[in-house]
Amino acid sequence: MSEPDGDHHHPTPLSPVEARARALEELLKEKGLLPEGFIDAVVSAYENDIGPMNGARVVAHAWVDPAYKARLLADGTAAIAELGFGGPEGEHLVAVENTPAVHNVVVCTLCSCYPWPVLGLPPSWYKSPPYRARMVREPRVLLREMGLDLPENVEIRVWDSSAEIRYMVLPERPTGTEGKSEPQLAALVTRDAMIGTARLGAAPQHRFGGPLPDGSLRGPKSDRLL
Amino acid sequence: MNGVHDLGGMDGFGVVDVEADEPVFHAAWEGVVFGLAAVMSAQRLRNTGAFRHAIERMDPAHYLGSPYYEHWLTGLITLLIEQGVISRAELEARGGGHFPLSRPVRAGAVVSSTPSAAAPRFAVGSAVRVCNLHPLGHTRCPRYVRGKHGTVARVDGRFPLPDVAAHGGARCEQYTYAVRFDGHELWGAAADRGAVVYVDLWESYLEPAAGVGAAGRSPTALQRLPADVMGRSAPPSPTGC
Amino acid sequence: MTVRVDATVAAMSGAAAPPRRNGELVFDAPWQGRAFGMAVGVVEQLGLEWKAFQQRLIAAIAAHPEAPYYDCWVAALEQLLLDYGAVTAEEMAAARATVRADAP
Repeated sequence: MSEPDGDHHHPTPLSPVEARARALEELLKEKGLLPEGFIDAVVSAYENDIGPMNGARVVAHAWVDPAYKARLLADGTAAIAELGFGGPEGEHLVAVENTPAVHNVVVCTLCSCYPWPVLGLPPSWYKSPPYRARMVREPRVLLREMGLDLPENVEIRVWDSSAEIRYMVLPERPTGTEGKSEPQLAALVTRDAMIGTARLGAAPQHRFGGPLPDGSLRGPKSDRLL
Repeated sequence: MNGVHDLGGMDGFGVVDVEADEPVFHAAWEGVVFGLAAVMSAQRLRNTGAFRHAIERMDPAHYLGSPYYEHWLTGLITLLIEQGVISRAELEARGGGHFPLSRPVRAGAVVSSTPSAAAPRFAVGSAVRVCNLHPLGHTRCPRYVRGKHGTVARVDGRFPLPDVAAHGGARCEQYTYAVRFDGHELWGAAADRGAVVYVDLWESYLEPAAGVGAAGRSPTALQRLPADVMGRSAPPSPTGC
Repeated sequence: MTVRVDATVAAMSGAAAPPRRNGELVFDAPWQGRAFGMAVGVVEQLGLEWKAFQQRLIAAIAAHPEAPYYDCWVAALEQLLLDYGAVTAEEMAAARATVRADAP
């Protein structure tokens, strides 16, 4: 069980709700309602085994290993399987690469097709009528509204997932990351960069959200990294 | 069908709300939903096309005015009633009120098509035009590309044609292709410059572009493809998706 | 120990959705992660469906819309345990007193 923050002589008092949570845990352990190690296993499963962390690991591996990157671009399904990823909505995966001259973005105009094994569950906005209607029609304008301003000379490729192929974007590796380890690189990759509504390493020009009054960057309803 | 779900290119929706909060579904229906979810998994609802088409058949105002989760629910319930798994009376008794269903499948929705030959009809670089088809039943050919000219950028494997599969037809497998469309071809001269759209299309949605010939490959078409796109094909998928 | 991720838990939407950044769960402090794990474990051990917890979570959020998300989570968990007789109110009070006595 975690200790309160602070050093031995000036420990931080527990907040009332944390005290209640801790009391619950002690009680449940006493009554044998929770197997040993269960809580840790649950947190690990929900934090690590779903969601865009899988895609971020694929991207980071492609950045550090040029041969893997080539395999990823040639056969996405086989390449993600090398890292242990696959399953429903990922049986036919194509990875599309961003370059200084080309920016890729993914949509499903007809419903909400999305590469679950690498990106987890699709965000609400991806499934919304405005996104589905507008991304194929005015991608540069829509991306700018969503915080990504691309120069006119960058070609925008919009991939409409209308058949069985599922797409993920391989973002460009940000500059100044030469010394980083693969896990450190994976931590830089955002879900939105793998959908194509964001690029990495650029300052966000977002008109939504922004820092909360306490300086943190996320709220209960926000699932975008700003 | 030319349904409201086929949203590509539609105007008038306003900004994308990236912090949109999906309303919590009405509590009375939660019990119904969880029960049906169990039925669905027990029945192993395999026919994705039939399920998608059930959603496409929703009343347009209902579709546009409801959250994603309600699309799923409406499509599921409609299918289960149509298949006789549950009755409408039973459904509404459990949920405590009227539940809007999707409209019935149209007469004439059932179509047939020819499976692909062993070799794909088109190759990377082929100049193609999307057929001017407007089926009453399920299709995965978006309206915004019908009749438009594009270039094949990638050849994928063979997959069951949804237009047939969704309506219970015999398995009809055809190659699918990623077809590249220039923004101006789709949206006219005023379109975003430097924007292209790739759409994945089944073989029977495509015909050779006029004046190019059956094989559909011309030097002009090849030149229109960027170098990094040419020549890359996804490996053929095993039959049995 | 392998835990199978339950899609019903992961797919909660609307006001009852756990905070995420970039699609991943976010905990401000370790106790929140433990509260998350506790709820999943309790539901499973009591042989319930996830909706038993989810409905109480929705009710707790509706009763206190300004409260932090995981405060509502703990309240919902306490309510669930009491409702199903897994713990009594006296046991809960005693456990809280012990924690307060042990903590500074």
